[in-house]
Parts: sequence; structure tokens; C-alpha cells
Amino acid sequence: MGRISSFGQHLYEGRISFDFVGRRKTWYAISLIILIVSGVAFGVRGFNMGIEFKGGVEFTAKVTQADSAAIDDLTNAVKDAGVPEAGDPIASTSGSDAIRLQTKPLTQDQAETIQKALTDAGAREVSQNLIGPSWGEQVAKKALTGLVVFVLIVIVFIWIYFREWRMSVAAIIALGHDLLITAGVYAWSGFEVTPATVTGLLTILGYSLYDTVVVFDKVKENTRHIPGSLSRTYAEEANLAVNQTLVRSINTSITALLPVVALLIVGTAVLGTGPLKDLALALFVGMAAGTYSSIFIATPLATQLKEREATIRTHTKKVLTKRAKNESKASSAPTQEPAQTAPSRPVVVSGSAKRQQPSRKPRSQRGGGRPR
Amino acid sequence: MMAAPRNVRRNQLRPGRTLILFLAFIVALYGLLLALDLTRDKGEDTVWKPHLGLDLQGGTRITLEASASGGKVTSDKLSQARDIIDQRVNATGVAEAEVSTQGGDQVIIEIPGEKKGNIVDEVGRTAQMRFRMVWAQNLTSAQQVDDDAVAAATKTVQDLDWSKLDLDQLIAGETQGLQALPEEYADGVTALQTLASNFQCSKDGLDVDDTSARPLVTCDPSTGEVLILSPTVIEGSQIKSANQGYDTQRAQWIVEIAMKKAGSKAFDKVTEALVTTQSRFAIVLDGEVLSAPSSQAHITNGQSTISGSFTAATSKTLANQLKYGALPLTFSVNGVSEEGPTLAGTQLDAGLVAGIVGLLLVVVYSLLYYRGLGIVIVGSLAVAGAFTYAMVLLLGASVGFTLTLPGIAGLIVAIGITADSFIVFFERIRDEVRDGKSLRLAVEAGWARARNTILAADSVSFLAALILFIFAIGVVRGFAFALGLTTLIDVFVVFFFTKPLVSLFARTEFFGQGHKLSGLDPAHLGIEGRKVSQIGRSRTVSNAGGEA
Repeated sequence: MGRISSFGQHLYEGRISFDFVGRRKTWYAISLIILIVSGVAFGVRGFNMGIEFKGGVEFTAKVTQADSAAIDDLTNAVKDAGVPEAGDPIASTSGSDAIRLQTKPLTQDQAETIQKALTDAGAREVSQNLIGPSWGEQVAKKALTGLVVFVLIVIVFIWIYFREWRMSVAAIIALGHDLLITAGVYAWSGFEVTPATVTGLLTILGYSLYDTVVVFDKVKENTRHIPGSLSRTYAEEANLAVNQTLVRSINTSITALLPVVALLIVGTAVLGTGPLKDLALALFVGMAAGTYSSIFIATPLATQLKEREATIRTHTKKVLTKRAKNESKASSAPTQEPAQTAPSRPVVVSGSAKRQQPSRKPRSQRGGGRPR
Repeated sequence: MMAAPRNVRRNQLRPGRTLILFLAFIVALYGLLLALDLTRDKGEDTVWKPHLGLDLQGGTRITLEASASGGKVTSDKLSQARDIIDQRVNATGVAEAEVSTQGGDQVIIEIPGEKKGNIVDEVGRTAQMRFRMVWAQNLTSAQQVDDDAVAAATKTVQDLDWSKLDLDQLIAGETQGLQALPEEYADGVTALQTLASNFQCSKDGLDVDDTSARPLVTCDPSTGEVLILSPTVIEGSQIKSANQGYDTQRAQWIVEIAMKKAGSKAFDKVTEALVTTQSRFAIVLDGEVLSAPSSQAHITNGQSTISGSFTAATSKTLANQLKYGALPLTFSVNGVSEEGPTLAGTQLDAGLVAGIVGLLLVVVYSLLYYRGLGIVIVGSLAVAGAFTYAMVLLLGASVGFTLTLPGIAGLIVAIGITADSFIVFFERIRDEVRDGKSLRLAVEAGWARARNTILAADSVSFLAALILFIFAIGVVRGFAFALGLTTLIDVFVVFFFTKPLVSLFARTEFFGQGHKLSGLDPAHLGIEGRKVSQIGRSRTVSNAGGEA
């Protein structure tokens, strides 16, 4: 553990540095491949929608004693009936002498097979009924409206907080990236999409943005003195910020993912069915993707957009010119490195006053004080 | 240099007090719960157990059947009715009731827990509200007319085409008397009077045919007054919003409504015509007169209040029904049954075990990585857990907040995410120490920076929760509620527990001097050549890129 700590120290000082921002094309390519694989899944496999979305058939079976043993008997009977669509029925007791089982939509023949299987398993009297979805179109429509409003408000919020619309754009793209990957994993795994899945997806919505904001906050802090200071370019400062928050990112993902992994293992290995599994898979994939995208997608993207700005372009040029000059002046000095986005932390002291004052915008442009 | 330690000492007088106040607050929450538990009625559930959802505890299943009298039952109308019932039943958004359609003509409502109150009345009622003119009032149902005469009168009223009358004529029927109506309606008027004289007013439901385009003979069940009412002047669909209110002058509960444009216009005209004589108009709900107030003022903005014999509960129910619109079908109860949970007990146990194992792993990891500081994480998580549990119980008792299995899993995960705030804070402290600050200074400086990050990030989470809560319906609202709750708790805990605790710890010798097991020793932080209690060279201090 001590090694991780000094690793953190080295990251902070820039002695160890990973080039997240500079090698963005690699990360984009990786993400693009994953996204394409996800996209193919939507087309090829589609989603395995649950009863709550599609409706289905409900069987009411009269039994002598409605308890969990009877539920297990009947559930197993349905599973073994040879109708794959009816697997994993939702079962509950109804009163003291009836058990209710809900399955996905079935054909007439399939329904009769199930009915027979239930009778063979000891049910005295079985009735069946078509049920409609409890999560109909209206729920979906409302949820979608909510999502659109949410995205718009988040764009504005991040814009105001960071005074930078480019960060809003990057954060939202990273969010879409995370949601698409999670949806892709769902399609490929064939796990059922239930309300629990939706709940999981919504959690990711918050988590992905949360994680991005934490990293962006450090970027904002590091780049505050640009274009006043000429010690590092914008890209270098952004990359340093990601490296400085790397230990945080690792620790946070570990603490957040540990309970999820426990839920996932218990949900799949021990229970095999049920909402725990659905929720845990969505959370696991989404949170992992959320951490990944904050580091590898959101920050490089925000930097790339920012670098198009004229002031930043000029600043980058100046920094590189100055660095080249210093290099030729002290060409024998071994501490200097060639220009890249991950330099060793320069020991140059330019003085805090000198660095901060020129970077302050005129009062009229600064708005109402610092964000709190 | 001399000023800094004094400042720190003054700051550090506060953490102990903050900490004690916050812990006292949590204890007070449990005290409140105890008080609630002691004062509850005998029949109610104990407050110490959270309300569990359908999946964990089972509930009541109510089957509503659309009756043929309410018009033709189509699947469109049925699913429209399902949506409206869903909104009504989940109006508070945290009870997580499920509503679905069954067969071609049934709506099924599943509500967690035992059946409470008259839920069918609250959600299954058509709630068709209409505004009508009072054509004749203060009639008493005295004489008995034979059935044939009633049938003939009913037919006469039905055969007339009342829809030809425009709003002015409908108003004239009240202000100038029924003789002011065009001649061809004379028979109809006589028939209405026959019907009125035979009308039986009863408090347990009236048998009236409430058709919008025809006059209506009905009564106000609370007073027994029988009235002849005009065809509808303002439809219930013209209601834009409805809210429960309280009339402080007359000390009674009311329902405040606002109308859409067309409704406002008609209401403007009606109140203008009636205000001079202080005549009445009637507000009719599902065929019963809810209230028949006299027009006290000329109302032009479509704002109106309905008073009647409301209690706090009934005014809220009515506002709720009006807000989400009238059901397109009339329903009757077909069956009520007690349902068992859809998840066997093993699911819940397994889920809880998984949650506990997961959290233990988090504890082990934080102790290994942060060593002594891990105690702060564990303590903060425990406090966050106790806080969350108290809030779940309190909200369960007050607004019926219900926990489902996904909800519980969500809370467990959320507590895991809460740990991030502490991690952000600790990493900031380490950064400050690495920059050359002494530990005590680093705690304050690191906090000043971590605070902003934590607030910004939590604001995004809270926004997500808030917007989902406003826009979504049904189960999603319950989830959004839980997410918002845990986010707020995160902020509270990190501000009023974690930060003061770390400040206190920084004063102890064990942490402040960087003991080997404190997680703050120089080797662990990767700094060389000084103790953490000392201030390092100033070059790195100025190199952090401006103040936070």
C-alpha cells in the first residue's frame, strides 16, 4: 500500500505521468470500437424486455397451501415445461390458497403447456389471463422528457460552474458513451431489462457526471493561470490534473464497485434470477465506464475543444517557443524534456503573484465572484 | 507566519462543537422516531420497521372492472385510465404502487402493505367534474310519481337536443327563469320538474345519468337539497390545475382550481351574469352536487375555489383527482385480495448479505490504504448509514416512503459512492502536505478545495434526482427520491462529521505527528526530509496554481 502512496506522490508532482490527453486518438479509437460492438448488439440481439414493459400472461393456480415451498414447486414446473419464453416467472402468493405466476407473452399452445405443467405439479385449478404492461408508453415518454430536460440543465449547470461550454459538451458526450456501453452489454448478455435495470441506468446518469465533474474541477484549478503563465500548455495542465486525480479515481472506483461486485456475484451465482442481478450488472458496467470516460474521453475531448480557441493556441505556441529557447540556452541541462503533454514538473519558480494576476479577467467578464 | 497557528487554533475550537451538535441531531432524529412510535394509534404499524415494497412484503391487489354504463370499453381508453390511475395512486411518488391492465376491461392496482383507507374511492373514482347553471333550487323531494310518468319524463328530456342552447341562453335560464328558454323546451322543463319532485337524495351514491349536454336533476348529498341544473357550461377538461388549500377566514379546507383559456372565458361570463343577483352555479362531481356557491364576484382569470364539507384528506384527494383528469371509463371493484411478496425471503437475505459483504470490503480497503484515516471513513459511513436509516423510517411514517429490493441495493451502493467525498478530501489533504504545508494547515487548506469539488459534484447528482422526481412517474420517482436523499445526506455528513473529525484528529499526537499507522506518516505520503507537523520549503506551496 505504501507503494501506491508514493505512486500518488509521484503522480502529483508529475514525476510519473501517463499521457491521457496526448494519446487521445488511441482512447477514442478504443471507445469507438466498444461503441460499435454495442451498437451491433442493438441491431442483432435487441433487448430482452421484461413483463413490466411488454405485458404477458398471468396464471392463477389454486393450491392447498400457498407458501414459499408451493411457489418453488410451481416455478420449477414452469421452468421445466419446455417453454423458454416462460422462464423466470414472477411468482407470489395470493391469499392463502392461490399462487400467481406471471410470464412473458405466450402463444395459445405455450400457455396450454404451462397450464398443464402447473396442474401436474399439484395445482388444483389454473386460470389464465392476459396482462398489460405496468410500465407502458407513457412511463417511457415521461422518463424520456425527464432525461432531455436533465441533459439541458446539466449542460447549463456545468457551463456556469466551469465558465466553459466545452466542458458541458465533453461531459454529456462521456455520459452518452457510458449509457450506450451499458445498454450494449445488456443486449449482448441477454439479461432481462426490468424496472431494476432502468433504476441502475439512472444511477449511472448521476455517477458518470459526478465523476467527470470531480476531474474537471482539478483541470479548472490547474489551468486557472493560463494564459498568464508560460510554464505549461493547456493540454499539459489538463493532463497533469487527470494524473493528480488518478489515485482518487482508482480509490473511488474500488470503493464504489466493491459492493456492486458483491451484489452481482450473489445475484448471478447464488440466486440466478431476480432484480438484484439486473441492477448490479447495469451498475457495474456503467460505473466502470463512467470512471474510464472521465479520464480517457471527457478530459481529452474538453482539451481538444479548448485548444481550438485562439488564445489557447497562441499560448501553447508561446510556451513551446519559450521552452525551446530555454533548451538551447541550457542544452546541457539533463532535466529538460522535449515538448509533450506529460512533462516532468519543472522546478522553475515564476512567483505566484506574477502568475496569477495577469490571468484574472477584467472585472466585467468575471461575473459574480467565485463559484462556491 | 505567526498568525497562521493562532488562526488554526481558533478554527479548531469549533470542530468538537460541530461534531457534538451533528451527533446530537442524529440522536434527535431517533428521539423523534421514538416519540412518533409512542404517540401512534394502536392500529398503525410500528415506525421502527421501514415500509417494504410489493416485492418484499406483498400488498393489496385491487381489481377494477370497467362497467359498460361508462361507454364502450376500448383498449385505448383502458390504457388511458391505467395511466391516470397510476398517477393518482403514485401522486406522492414514494409508495411504489403498480398499476397494470388485465384482459380487455380490467385495471389492477397493487399497493404495498395492508389496505389502508378507502383507496378505491381515491383512485378508482371517475372524478368527472362539471360546472352547471342552477335552473331551479331548494326543491324538496316529497311526492311520489309512478314509474311510468318518470320514464316518460326521462325520455322527454333525453329526446330534446339541448346542445342547441348557447351559453347566453343557458345563463338566461337561471337569471330570467326557465320560461326564458325557447318554446320548444317547454315540455322538457315540465319533465325536469316532474323528475325533480320525484328525486330521492341519498348519501351513499346517487343513480343519475350525468351527461354533459343534457340538463341534470340531482342533489347535494350533504344538505339534501335537490336542484335542476343546466347542461354543462364548463367541462372538467378545462381544469388546468387543482390544489388543496385552506380558507383561513372561514377555517375550512378548500380545493383551488385554475382553468384553461376557454374555461376561464365561460367562467368570466357566468360570474358576471350572476354577481348582480348573487345567484348560484353548481359544481358537480360524478353527478353529485359538490357545492353550489353564489357568485360573490366577477371572476375573469379562471381562478376558483371549491368549498364544501372537506377535511384535509378529502380536499387533497379531490385536488389530486382533478389534477390528473377524469377517467374515461367508469369502474367498479371486482375483487380485493392480499398478495404475498414476489421475491422469496432468500432473495432479500442474499441481497442483504451481499450488501454487508460489499461494505465490509470497502472498510477493509480503506483501512489498508488510509490506515488510521480509514477510521474516519468507517465512522462517516456508519453515521451516514444511521442517518439514512432514520430518514427512511421518518419518511416511511410521514409520506409512505417504501423500500423495494432495488431501492435497498441503491441505498447500499449510494453509501459506497458517499465514500468518494471522503476520498476527495483525503487526497486533497495529502496534496497539501506534499506541497509543503504542515498537517494542521493542510487539513484546512485541503478542505477549502475539496469542499468546492464535493459541492459541485453532489449538485449534479442532486439535479439528476430532482429532475427525475419531477418528470418521472411510478417506480422511478421512488428511486429518484432515494438518490436525492442520499446525496443530501452525503453533503451533511462530510460537512458536519468528516471534516470536524479530521480536524480533531489532526490535533492528536497519533495523527498530527504522523504516526506510522496513522496513514499520514512521511513515508506513506511519499515526502522526504521533514515531519508532517512541520512546514516544508515554500517553493511548492506557491506552485499549486492559485488559491481555491
